Amino acid sequence: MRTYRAELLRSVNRATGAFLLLCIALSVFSMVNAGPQHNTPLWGFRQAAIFVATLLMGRAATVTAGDFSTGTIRSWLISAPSRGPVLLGKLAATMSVALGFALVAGLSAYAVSSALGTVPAVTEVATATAQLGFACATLTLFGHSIGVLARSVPVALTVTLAWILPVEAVLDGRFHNSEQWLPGLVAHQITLGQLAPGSTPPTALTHAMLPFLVLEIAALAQFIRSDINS
Amino acid sequence: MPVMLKSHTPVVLSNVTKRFGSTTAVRSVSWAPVRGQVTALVGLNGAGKSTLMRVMTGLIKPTEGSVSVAADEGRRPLSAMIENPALFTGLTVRRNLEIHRVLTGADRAEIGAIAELAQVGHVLRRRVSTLSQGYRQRVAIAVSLLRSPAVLLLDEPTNALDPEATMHLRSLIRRVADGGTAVVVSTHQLREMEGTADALTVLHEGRVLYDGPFESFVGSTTLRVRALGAEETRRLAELLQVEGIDAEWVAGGIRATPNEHADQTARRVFTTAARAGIDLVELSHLTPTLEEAFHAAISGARS
Repeated sequence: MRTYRAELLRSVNRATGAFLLLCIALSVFSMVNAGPQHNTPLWGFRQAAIFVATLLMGRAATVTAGDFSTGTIRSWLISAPSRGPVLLGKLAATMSVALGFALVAGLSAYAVSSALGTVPAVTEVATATAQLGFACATLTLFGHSIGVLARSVPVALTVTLAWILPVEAVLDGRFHNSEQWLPGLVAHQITLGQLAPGSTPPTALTHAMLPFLVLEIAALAQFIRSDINS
Repeated sequence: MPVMLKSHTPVVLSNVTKRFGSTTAVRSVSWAPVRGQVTALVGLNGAGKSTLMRVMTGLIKPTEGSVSVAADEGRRPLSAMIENPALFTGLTVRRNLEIHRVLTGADRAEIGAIAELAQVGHVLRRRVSTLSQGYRQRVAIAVSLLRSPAVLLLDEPTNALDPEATMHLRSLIRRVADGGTAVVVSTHQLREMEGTADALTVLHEGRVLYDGPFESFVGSTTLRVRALGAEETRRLAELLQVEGIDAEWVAGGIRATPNEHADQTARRVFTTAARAGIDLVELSHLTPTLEEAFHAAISGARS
């Protein structure tokens, strides 16, 4: 609990505020440009959702790997009797920030959509926000696990962005039902509210999150066992 | 679950060895800093000081042996400032202290007191990135003092501090130790720890060469005696030996090793010379410096 609270306290800063504004700006831009494409602002919100989740993935990777490269991870470990709760507390806090971002983005979407003249149904906005929240949580998990494993900001950012952007795009279509299995792609489908043919919501949620969960467990195991030389 | 230990040794290293690949950084070290005592941990670069500190904090795990940390009621078991100050440079000093206060479970009121103690009270609102290295060091020290640790490890704490700040830090270290904390200070600056450290641990190539009282490491004072002329000096040496004084001919003079207080031996030398009609041209006390004692210990270990 202490680690969770300390990590949340650390996250409350101007950089996080600026990052939040960036995510909102991205959503608003997409919503505003939906009209000329004969779509609703909420459609625009959904289009931008995966980019918001990707930005949060990058944030998670940067903050986590940065702790190792700057040595601030030492403070967490010296103050705690065991490592597992430290990592889980930091993960929980990072996830909380990501979900908080999704919530604020969802509320902004409702406000912006209304301001643009299209008042969406609350359930529609809530669904889109929840789907964004899921994608944010999933990709944050990915960013956090790679940050722990890589312990270097450039490496963590490269690996996460490379996987989500070009690698999955290359793999898509290379094997049977790839669009149902590639986690980033499935997360994108969830944010769009359009699952691949043959996919169901429970399987989509599982396929999106499970690989990253496995990665996080591997990261936890490595973190508990390895030396911290930074 | 930490092992409950005797109250005066909050951390105990038992036969600790740490290897990194083919390099052995720490070899079979059994050591326990004592509560209420300041221990200076000295050694050449690469002797294993930082590795030993990292093993004590749990940042790295020993290859062999074990580290036991006592669970102390109301106090943080162990705190450390290792290598560069690990602070959140984008945040203010106050925010850094607050984060660590939450991490350690310290009371809110401690922040103000600790900040004044470490002389960073006037920079609480400043972002760490805007502070000089010396001030960052002070902030890191303040962070390490939160919740009165039972053991405090400081790795080269006087790096980047000006002479006034160094003096203040030494008095702070003394106060912290007097409050019951076992303070271990790793340093290259041996002279800095004179007057502050109670004990000295010398590491060389991963092994403990010396672990004991600071004063005992330096060695005892000897007397250098010269008379007017080499022949007279030799005659005096023989007379001193008859008087029961341990006197040997060394490099053109006499080295007398007192088996009593050095001043008493000096009086006896003077009296003996006067009785024999020998004129003295030199009678001086020679106390080896800390550096000389350290180099002698290292050279002895190498040979």
